[in-house]
Amino acid sequence: MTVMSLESELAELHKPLLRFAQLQLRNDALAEDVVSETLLAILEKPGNFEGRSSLRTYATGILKFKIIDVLRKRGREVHVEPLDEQSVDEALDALFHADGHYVDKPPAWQQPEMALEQRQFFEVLERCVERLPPRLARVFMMREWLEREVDEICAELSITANNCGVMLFRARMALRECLGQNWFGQDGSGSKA
Amino acid sequence: MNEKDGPAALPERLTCKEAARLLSAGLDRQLPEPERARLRLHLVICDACRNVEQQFDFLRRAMRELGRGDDGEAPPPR
Repeated sequence: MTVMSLESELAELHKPLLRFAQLQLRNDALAEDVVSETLLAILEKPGNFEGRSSLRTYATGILKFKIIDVLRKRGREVHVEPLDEQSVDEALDALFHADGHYVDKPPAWQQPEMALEQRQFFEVLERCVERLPPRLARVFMMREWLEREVDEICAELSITANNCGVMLFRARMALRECLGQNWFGQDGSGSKA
Repeated sequence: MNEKDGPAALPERLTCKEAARLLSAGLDRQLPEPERARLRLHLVICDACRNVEQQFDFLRRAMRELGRGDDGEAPPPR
């Protein structure tokens, strides 16, 4: 790969990488920083990219490590407020009857495999993640996008394992609802207000 | 299975809400045996919760694909 084509490929990746960093860090300046560092790391040692995966996969891998570093530092500095348990319960309670059965039984999603091949699906997924309360989104992204162990996440954010579990549960339920309504055509009538 | 089906042998039934919570927890840690058994029993009898199980699994896969782009290598075999 010539230097020129590497640069132009990286230029195309700039925006998507920035978007991921913003989603995770919720801070535009920090996001710019980690993306710049990522691009710089690739430009400084282009030989390390062996072309075994796509450049995008390679760059995303580096970006993940940069983001983990930032979160690690920030986790020590910033106190994360404990989740408001009451609001969690309220949001979840709306999905269930008092006896623990679903108000609307979750239907099966049709052809989820096909969704994974469509760029538009991932745009919907991103929007659904963005819609989560910031703390939930952060814990969820650390778990599912950065693929970190729950113990590490709890320790870093100084939250209990139980609280962490509740947050992940709530995030997953909210994302299920969001994807069901916005991609899999589950009708929104489920929200009986 | 050749167990006697005395009611005493049956674990206490889960609600769908509890099942959803355990499905989520199972993605983060190995569930201890009594909970796993109760969850498996619930999934056998509840198709809605089987859907939720599949959707949680799908969500995990989708999140791992997020950012990999569609120009990468083939998705990992499953």
